[in-house]
Amino acid sequence: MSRRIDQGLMLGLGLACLSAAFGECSRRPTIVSAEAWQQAAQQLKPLIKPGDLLLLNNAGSSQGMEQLRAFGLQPRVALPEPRGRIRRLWLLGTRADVPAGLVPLARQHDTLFTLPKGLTLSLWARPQGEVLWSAKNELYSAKIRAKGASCTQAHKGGWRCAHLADWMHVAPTGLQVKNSHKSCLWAHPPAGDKPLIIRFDAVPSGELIFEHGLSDKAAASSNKHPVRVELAWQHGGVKLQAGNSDGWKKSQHQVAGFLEIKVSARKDGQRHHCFKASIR
Amino acid sequence: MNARRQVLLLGLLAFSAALVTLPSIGTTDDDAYYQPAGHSYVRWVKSLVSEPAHALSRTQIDAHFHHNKEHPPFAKWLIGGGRWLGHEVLGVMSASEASRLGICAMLALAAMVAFAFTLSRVGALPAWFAALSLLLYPRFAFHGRVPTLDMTVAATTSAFLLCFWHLHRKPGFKPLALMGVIFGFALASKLNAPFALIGCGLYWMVEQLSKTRKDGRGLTLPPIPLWMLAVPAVGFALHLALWPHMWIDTFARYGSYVSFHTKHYPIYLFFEGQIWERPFAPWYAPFAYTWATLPTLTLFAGMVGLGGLLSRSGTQNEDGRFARFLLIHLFVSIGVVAFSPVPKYGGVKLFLPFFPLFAVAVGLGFARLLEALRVVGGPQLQKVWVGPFFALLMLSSGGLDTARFYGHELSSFGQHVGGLPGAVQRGFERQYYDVFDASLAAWISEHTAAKASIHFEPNHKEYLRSAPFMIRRGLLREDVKLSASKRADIVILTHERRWRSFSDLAVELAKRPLLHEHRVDGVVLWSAYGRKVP
Repeated sequence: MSRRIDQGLMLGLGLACLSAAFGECSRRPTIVSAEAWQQAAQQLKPLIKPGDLLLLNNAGSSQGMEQLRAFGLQPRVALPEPRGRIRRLWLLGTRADVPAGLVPLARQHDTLFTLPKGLTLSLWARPQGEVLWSAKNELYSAKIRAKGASCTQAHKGGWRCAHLADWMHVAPTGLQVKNSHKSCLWAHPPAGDKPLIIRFDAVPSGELIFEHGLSDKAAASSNKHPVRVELAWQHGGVKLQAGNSDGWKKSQHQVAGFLEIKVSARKDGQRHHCFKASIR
Repeated sequence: MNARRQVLLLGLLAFSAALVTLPSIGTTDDDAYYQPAGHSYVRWVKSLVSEPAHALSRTQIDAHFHHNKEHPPFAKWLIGGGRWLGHEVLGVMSASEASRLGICAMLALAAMVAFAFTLSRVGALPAWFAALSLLLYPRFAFHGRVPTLDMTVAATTSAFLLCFWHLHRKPGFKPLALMGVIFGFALASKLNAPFALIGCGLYWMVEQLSKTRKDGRGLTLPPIPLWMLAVPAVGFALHLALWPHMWIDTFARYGSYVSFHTKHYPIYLFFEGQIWERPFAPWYAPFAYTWATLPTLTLFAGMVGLGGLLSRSGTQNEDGRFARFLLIHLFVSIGVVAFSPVPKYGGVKLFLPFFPLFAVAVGLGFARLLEALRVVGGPQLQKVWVGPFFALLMLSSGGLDTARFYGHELSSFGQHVGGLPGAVQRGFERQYYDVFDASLAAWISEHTAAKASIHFEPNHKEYLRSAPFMIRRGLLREDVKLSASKRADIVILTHERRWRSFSDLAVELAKRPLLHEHRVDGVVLWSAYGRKVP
């Protein structure tokens, strides 16, 4: 038994050495000629549609960048953020393996044309109906203002208005609405009928699904004034409101460009308002 | 050579190697906090010597200790002490370089602890192997040459564990005092030190449970050992004694120190191809980083060592006790980052105390592999030279990684993940800590016009703070100006993908002429762009 273990250990050591040797070989960059990159660029260019992204898949090497650019392509070295911007993604490079982080994109095609030796190409696309953007995920980039000043103090994954009371913040929370738990973004209207403004400068074009409501505690309070919500985007907008008896409301809108959410109420007492916004 | 001399020789070699390679190590975004703090602490000591009553006044204590008061002081004492000795007294190096002397000593201490632990279990050759494999782990060696807190806490907690292992069963006052004092230094290094004591408590509990089970007494509460009271008490007292900031309004100030760390702000980590902020990176991120960044053969030896420890952990002899002790502390030192709701960032730096202990497992694994080699290889492999030769072979992957990532240690990844290119494909961060590295300073100094303005993306503010240190170290030309505007003569894009703006910046900057790309292991770490041609 003991000898078997010794042999097993030696076998393991041999495999570790092989793995190290394989790692040494695989890390060496595949050098592809400039002509090959040019040929790939020439073939790829007519296939790329407006809004498509091209990601260089070279494991951190920038070879081919110059040749692709010379053909008017705009290769990227990393996926852009927020990733909702990615509708279709072309992956071109010297590596055959796929880089981590492409979720939730789905592979569409591998061989659309014969590529020069040493290069691989694949097309990835976002499945229909996938969330492109969500206010919760992009809250880090939101510009928030209330009562004439910016809210920039980090607070529980969101932002707090340091010049106002502690409850004046926009951050992920959980509320009971009509006895059902909602995970949403806290957005309480400020006092004095002044608006809380949450602005996202760049959102993808698509269908905005906006959900909001007041907590059960707020709905049971003596304040009967509804929370008004004004949504604005490029060339459009809508006015909504959430009252004590409304429960959780949901609406859909076609949006593009930017998204601004203004939250206000004539009286601010017990207006525990919360919303969810995503674009598909 | 006896054990004590070997330990001292190892310490001397480790310290000298760290010292000689200091100029290759860049400036981190933490230097600007800890170096001034350390300098200020030492200035206070000077004033304490010349005017004690004045120095002990509240205003003077606050004036000197308000720097970086959110972290305990011991590493900063070392940083300030190194500066005083190397720069002010001996005058042999720049202030910034000398600030690293104390931390280099901590690197040597960590290697000595790994050596001493292993020596007592399996002998001299595996002990040397354990210590050298630790020093040849590029990321660990990097943290042992920058003036930050991580190496100090790694070295002091491991030293405490070594001391605890040898002394906690010994009677008398001296062992208790010694354990308490070393724990005090650990506690005064960084907030994760108390977890070492929690690990000791867990170990004691496991030992008591197995003893009462063996005796057939069922679950009974044994008497609390004296060390459980004395060590934290002495340690805490020393921790406070080393930290004059806490001498005033002790309760309020200590409360705000603890509260600062319980509400730590999120820090980005790029992991699995995603940016993690909040929620924090998944629990397994520290394990994945450990697996990916250790040199391949070091990792393999460590896994063999862990296997041996696990197989012995059920026995009731000294070997079994040691196995349980080490396994518990290995788990606690990494688990405290993996399983608690704290931001996971900075590669392996947050759980650096794990590595000296892992090096012990590496040493044990090496001893077991050598034994297996001799059994399988037969009489030809019984010769004396086989052991050292095998050690050199096993150290080769660490040696290769150290050479390949020299000056870029935070980009090091093991051969088993395909090095840095393989790690990039797997979605690991290719560099972090916004290190103003020596190669970057050298390129700027050699290739830019006089009074050139330089702008950094995506995180200019950190380079703005570290550039003066690079100038003082003589690594960056003095006339270079850092500009907050992208209209600077040169824009440097560091490829740190945890910044959300990185991809768009790379596209935007591509409109400017590319002057240079700095590649390590075939991967671009930073690109320099010139002015747009009108």
